[in-house]
Amino acid sequence: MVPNHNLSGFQAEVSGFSGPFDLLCYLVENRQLDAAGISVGQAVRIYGAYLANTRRVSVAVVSEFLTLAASLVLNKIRFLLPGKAGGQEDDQSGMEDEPLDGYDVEEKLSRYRPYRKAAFFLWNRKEKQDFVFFRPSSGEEGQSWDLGDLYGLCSLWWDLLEEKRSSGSSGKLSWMDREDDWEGMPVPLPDEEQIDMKISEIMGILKKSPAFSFSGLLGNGRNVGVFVVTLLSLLEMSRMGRIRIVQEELFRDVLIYSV
Amino acid sequence: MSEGISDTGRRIQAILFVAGTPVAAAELAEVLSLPLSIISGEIRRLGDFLRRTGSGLLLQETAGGWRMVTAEDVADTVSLFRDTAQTQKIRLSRAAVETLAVIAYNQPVTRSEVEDIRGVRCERVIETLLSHGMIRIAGRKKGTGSPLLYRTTDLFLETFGLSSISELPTLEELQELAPPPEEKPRKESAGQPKEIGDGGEGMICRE
Repeated sequence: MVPNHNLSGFQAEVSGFSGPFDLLCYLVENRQLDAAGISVGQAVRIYGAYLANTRRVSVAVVSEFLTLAASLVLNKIRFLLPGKAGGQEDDQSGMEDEPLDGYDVEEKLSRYRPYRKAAFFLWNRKEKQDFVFFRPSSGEEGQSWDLGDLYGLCSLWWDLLEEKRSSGSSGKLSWMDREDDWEGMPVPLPDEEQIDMKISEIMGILKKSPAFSFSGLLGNGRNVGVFVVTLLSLLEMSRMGRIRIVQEELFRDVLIYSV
Repeated sequence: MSEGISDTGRRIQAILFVAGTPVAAAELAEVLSLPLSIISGEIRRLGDFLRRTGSGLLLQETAGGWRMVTAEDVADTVSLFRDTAQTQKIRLSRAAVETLAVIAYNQPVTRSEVEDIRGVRCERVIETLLSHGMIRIAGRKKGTGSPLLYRTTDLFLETFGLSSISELPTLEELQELAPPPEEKPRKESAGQPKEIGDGGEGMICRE
C-alpha cells in the first residue's frame, strides 16, 4: 500500500512538457542528464505513488507513463551498451533495408549469398516473362483459398460484405426482412442488433428491479454467444451511464445496478 | 479439322483462348471427359504445332496450369496495340525480388526469418508483396509470439513464368551460376513496364 504522502509539490508545470517524467526523458535523450545515474525503479515508484494519490488515473495517463518509462529504460540500455554511448541514432524503425542490430556481416553474408543468386535467377525469368502477354484475368475467376489461408478468407468475406451492403442500400431492413436474401440461406443476426435487443431486454428488467446479478441475467442459456452479447450490452450500458456494474469480491457474481 | 492438330487439340486451344487464368490439365480432362494422359499428350502436340507453324500464340505452363500467351518476338507489336498489355506487367524492386526469393526457398517462413537471412528489415516489402498478392499468409508458426507464416502465390509463379515452385533450381545448383552483377541493368524493351518509384524501396506496382 502506498503511503498517502503530501505530493502536491510533485506538480511540475514546464512549458512544452506534459509532466516531470516527460521532462526527465527529454533531458536524458538530449544527453543533458546521465541516464546511467537515474534509478528507473525509484522514478516508477514515485510516479506510481503520485498517480495513486491523484485518484484521477485514466488508461491514457498510465499508457503514457509506461511509454515514458520504457523510453527511459531504453536510454539506459543504450548508455550501457559499448559503442552506443555517444552515438546519435536516427529512428528508422520500419524503414526498408535498415541493418539489423547485432548483424554479423561475415557469417550472414555467406548464408545470404545463395538467395542473391536466386533473386538474380528470378530477375532473368521475369525479364523473359515481360515479353509474353496473355489474356487479362477478369478478376472474377481464379480465386481459390487454401485451408488456413485466413488472409484470403478475410478478403473474400469483406468483399462479400461490401457487395452486400452496396446492393442493399435502400434503407435499413430488419433482420427478419433479410432472411431470404442469400438464396434461402438464413442471415445471421448482426451483432449490433443483438446488442440493441439485449439492451432493451435489460432495461425492461431494470424497470422491475433496481438491481440484478449477471448470472441471473444469463439464465440457463449460457452459451458463448449469449454470454458475449450480454457482456457487450452491459459494457455499452455502463458506458452510456445507464447502469453501474459492481463485483464486490473477486470471482463472485457481478451485480448490475440501475443508475 | 486443322492440319496437324486433332479435334481434341482444337478444343483445348479454344478453352485456353477464352480462359483468363491458367487451366490445369486435370480440369481440361474433366471438361473434355478424357483421361489425363490423353490430355497431356494433346497439350504437348498443340504446343509443338503452334511453335512449328510460327503462330503468334504459344502455350505456356505456369502456376500448375496452361495458358495461351503471345510469342516473345511479337511483344513489341502487342505492347503497341493497347495499354492492357502493360497492365499485366508488375514492376519489382531489387528488395522485393530478394525477399520473394527468400520466401520462395524457405516457405512457409516468418518475417523475422526472412530478415535474418537478408540482414535488413523487410516489414514494408512484405506488406507490399502481400497487398499485391505475390505472397500470402499461410498460418502462424507455433512458438513464442506465434508469428505469421508467408508463402508465395500462384501470381508469383505467373509473374516469373514458373510452372511450380519445384521448377526453381536448388540453392546448391544456383552456386554454379555466374555471380550476379552488383546492379542489374534494366533493358529498355517493348514489354518493359514504365518505371515507378526508385526501385530500392520494395515497391511493386501494376500500372
